[in-house]
Amino acid sequence: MLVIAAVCALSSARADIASFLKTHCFECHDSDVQKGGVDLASQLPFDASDPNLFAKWVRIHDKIESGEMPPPKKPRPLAAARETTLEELHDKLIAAESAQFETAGVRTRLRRLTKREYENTIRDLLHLDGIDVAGFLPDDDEAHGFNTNADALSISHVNIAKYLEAAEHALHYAIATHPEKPTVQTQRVSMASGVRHVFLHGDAVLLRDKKPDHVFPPAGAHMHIGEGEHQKMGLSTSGASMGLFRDEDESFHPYFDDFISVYPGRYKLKLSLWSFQWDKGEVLPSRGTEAARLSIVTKTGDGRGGGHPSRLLAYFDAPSLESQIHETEVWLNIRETFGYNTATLTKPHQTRGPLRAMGVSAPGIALDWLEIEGPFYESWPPPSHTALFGELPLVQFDPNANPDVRQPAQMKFRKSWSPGQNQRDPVEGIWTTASKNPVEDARQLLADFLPKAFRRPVSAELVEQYLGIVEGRLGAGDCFENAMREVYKTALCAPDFLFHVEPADKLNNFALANRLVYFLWNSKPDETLTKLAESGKIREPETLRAEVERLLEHARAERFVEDFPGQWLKLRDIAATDPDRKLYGEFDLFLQNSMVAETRAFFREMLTRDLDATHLIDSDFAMLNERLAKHYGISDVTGSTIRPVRLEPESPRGGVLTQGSVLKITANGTTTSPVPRGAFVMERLVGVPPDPPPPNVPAVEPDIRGLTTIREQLAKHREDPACAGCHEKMDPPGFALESFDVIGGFRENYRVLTEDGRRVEGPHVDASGQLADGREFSNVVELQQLLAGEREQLQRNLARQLAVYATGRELSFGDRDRIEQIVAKAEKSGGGLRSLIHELVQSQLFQTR
Amino acid sequence: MKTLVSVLAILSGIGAALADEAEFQFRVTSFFIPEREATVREAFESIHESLEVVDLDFETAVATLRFDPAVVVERAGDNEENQRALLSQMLRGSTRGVVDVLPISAVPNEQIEEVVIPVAGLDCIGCSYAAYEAVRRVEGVEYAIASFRDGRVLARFDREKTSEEQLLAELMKKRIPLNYQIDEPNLVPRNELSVVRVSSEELRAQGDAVHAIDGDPQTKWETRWQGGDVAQPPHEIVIDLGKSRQLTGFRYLARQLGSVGAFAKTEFFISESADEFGDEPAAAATFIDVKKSQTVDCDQPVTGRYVLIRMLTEIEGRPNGTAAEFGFIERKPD
Repeated sequence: MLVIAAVCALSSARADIASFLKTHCFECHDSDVQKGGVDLASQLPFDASDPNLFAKWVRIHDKIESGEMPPPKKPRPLAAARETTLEELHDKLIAAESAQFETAGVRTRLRRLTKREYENTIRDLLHLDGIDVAGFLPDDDEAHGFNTNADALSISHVNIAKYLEAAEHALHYAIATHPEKPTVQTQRVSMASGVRHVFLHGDAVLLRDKKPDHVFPPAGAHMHIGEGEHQKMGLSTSGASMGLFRDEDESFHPYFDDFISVYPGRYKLKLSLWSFQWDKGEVLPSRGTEAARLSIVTKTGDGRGGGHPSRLLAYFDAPSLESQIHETEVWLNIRETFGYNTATLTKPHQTRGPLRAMGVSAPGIALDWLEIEGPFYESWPPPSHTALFGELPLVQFDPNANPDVRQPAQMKFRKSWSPGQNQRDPVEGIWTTASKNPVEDARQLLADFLPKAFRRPVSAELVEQYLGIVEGRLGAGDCFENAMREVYKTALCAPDFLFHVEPADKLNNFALANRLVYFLWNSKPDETLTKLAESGKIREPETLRAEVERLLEHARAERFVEDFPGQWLKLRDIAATDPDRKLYGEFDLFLQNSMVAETRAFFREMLTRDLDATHLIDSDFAMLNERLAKHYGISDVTGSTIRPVRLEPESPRGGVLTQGSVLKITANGTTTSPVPRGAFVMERLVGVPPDPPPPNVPAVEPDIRGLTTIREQLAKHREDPACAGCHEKMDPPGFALESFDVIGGFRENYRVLTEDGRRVEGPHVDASGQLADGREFSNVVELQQLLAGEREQLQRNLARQLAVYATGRELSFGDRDRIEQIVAKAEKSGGGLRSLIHELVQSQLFQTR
Repeated sequence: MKTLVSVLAILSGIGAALADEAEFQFRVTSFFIPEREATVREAFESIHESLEVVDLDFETAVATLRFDPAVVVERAGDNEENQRALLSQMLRGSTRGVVDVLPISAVPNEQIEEVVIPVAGLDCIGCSYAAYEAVRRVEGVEYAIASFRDGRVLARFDREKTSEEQLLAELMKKRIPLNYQIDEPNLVPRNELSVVRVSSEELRAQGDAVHAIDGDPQTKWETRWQGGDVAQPPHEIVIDLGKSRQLTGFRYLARQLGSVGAFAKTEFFISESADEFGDEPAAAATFIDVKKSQTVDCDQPVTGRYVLIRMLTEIEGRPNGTAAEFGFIERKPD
């Protein structure tokens, strides 16, 4: 808990501050006037132990420093008086803060692993690349923009109960319970069974040799009758391709139910896709490249119902009538299959008519087959098992020969209701890990496992404590496997595992290695990093620099690319609102997923090319696929793959500022408002967060009838002096972004709905504005130019966001100087994102708790 | 039930390996179109390499098999019914329950009734199988075939256990459109008929009035029911017979799928004028909920060029009215 002990009575130096305030501030902010609700004249003790008072003094400092106060129309203070006052205030604040931290000993409070850090740590510790354990845990809160912040990482009995469940689950996956490697099965499945219910109505057709199948012909004046009967007659096993005309919706989430994973592990996936134009029974060449989406669907319950949770796997192109084969690798947990969606096709029910498929002319995507091969294990027992049991042998457990020993508590696999054809290999008897010398083996296993799990050296005493658990369980009649399961579960629920254990003040070698690897990999150190920590070489600046490079080049750095912008730019809120279908009928899931992919790819590009923070505001390229390019009005981009696309100088795109993801996240699905968008830009991209709104002031709601523009409403709102101060800073970027609708499409007029529900063009968009410093812009391109000119501030903000994420704490007043140093050092290498990361990692700010 | 028709135990001359082989006959399921023969044969042969399909008779759906029970259905022992049950289990297991063997029918021929039901639908093996299964599963059905290519379902059943109505009900439950026609001598040719006026028609659901005289039982005239403004009875349609004719009766064919709007109380008027029909109907009837053509004969032949059909009530009292076809029987000179 932050404890501020120092109470700094104003010394003689305060006389300068007091005099300055009296001369330049009291006219508006004394006890009588209290403009904007601010009273500086009544007692405002310099009490750093009170966070509110401390923050107020910081705010006074910042207002004077930025020149915002005194206001421009008032007499200007003498430069010397201003400088002296600022210096005094700065020193006072630093001194008070230092005293406070000296008492507390740490800046970053003890914090646990986030949900994602926990899952990644389990995955890397147990070599279970894709196991889902985050699903067991409650969601993390967020503080200061990130969930890595100690203030957000609360823990309760609920967390503990869930950690126990998650640990048991992970151990069930990790421990081998059969003597041989599971047989690699290859299964080729059709989409026909997954879409047969819409096939009956003519939203899908069976195709053979690129023509309608004559055994199961397209539905026409008559629909097909009997889903089950078609399946029994071989609809999904006939070898024909399934052509589909419709996108998914709330009631249509097709998936391959002829396959369901029965072993966790790596699988190879192949699929054969093509696109076509359907014309009332004829197959014609396609209109262009279509794309299908595969997702991983987790079957829940008995597997019969819908609503299974799913996660995106990838989009695959179907460029023409010629079948295109795609290959990829994927980790599957038990009870998972693949969801399928024709991402680029029409909305549902556009193909229905009295003649069903035979009356339709529409684009379609055909899937010849999906082939799943696996599971693949590099060795047996798998690495997950040897991480826990080393080279101890797997033997058959004989209950008769061990009547007093409790048999292994292994997970019983129950095949849920599912027509999945793949089966587990039959295993005779119970197989378990045997030890002739269980206590000594357990000691060795724990001595190896605990340092990896706890991410630092572990004392022999601690190993003995854990060994005591094993001995206790063995004494109570557990078999060796059960006793080890118990001790591993205990370790995975121990504070040593769940928390970032860091010493006060300067981080030791292991804490530094951990802070670095959780920053860039979201997970535990690997062997290389552990050895560098053991040898102390991690402290050498060049070694640290090389390690940052190594970590960023590793595939696990994608976790950073996913997690950091995901939180900083709120990408995880992308689906928080559903755009109004009447106003934004062109919106679909493919567009939404492409938006997130764009922002991640852009961040990755900044990282790879070491681009500076001005690229967040404007860039001469964008990361696009065909769907996004079409949405942005950019031509000559084909297919679903995101790639760099050069932009024309006059393009309003470029930078994060005008990316669809940011524009959607800052809108409410129906309307846009300059306020939340402006606040987002100022807080997240520029780094000048607006003050929170005063209490009891209602939000300004856009007029969805289109009678009054939001600009007119806000102009009225700013007539209140209490509102004007913040809105003058916050609204201007939002005004420029009014050029973009709720799904990030460029607009010159607002879309509005008439009373009878028709979509019409509303008032013209006015994207002009004036920044708080008086500089004017007439559109979003000019705003980009103005904001991109604030390079220092943008760099400072990016460094600050990275530091908050990496250190797990909000930055203090005193950290401002440290950020300045980081930025200055990074500038020597061009000031790009990668350079900022390097200098942050090298900094005292990063290397101190 | 005797399934073993002949035990051809070859006791000498051929060899010990064939000593226990015999021929067996069963009713086989899923043999609903001749094209299924290869698939059914394959299903049998996949059970055991020594099992031979001697004959598959589509006309009776009887399979004649030759095999050694001690080899093919060893676990069943000597009991013939157990042998059939085990063979059935093996077949269903390997064909997702599609192919099965049942005992040969023991129902006396005189108790068997055959019915042919016209149906309409896609020429699709899955759809035909659905129609077949709808009928085949009815208790008492001893034989069934179904083909939308041929537009018919044929069933032979034990009349003490089921009926044609029951089979029709099962087909309708499965949402299989029936395809009865008005097909009689002396029917006024359809190409000479036209609709003069109608009280309402549901154009958004292809319920045009002209469908009541187009000769296609799969289309229908529907009174207005969409848009929150449901037309209320009586519903009327006036049809021009092309010229003045002497009629002896009228025919009504209800919609062939579903029953909403099927006519109950109905009056038929005839006149030389399309605007004046008088108060006395030429004929009246209360129709019932059946899919076959229903007859209304006049007491005396009536004459006129225009016919007004007025539906007063629907079979369930609903406001809707639907008609697949109307027919007009003309008196021909002797």
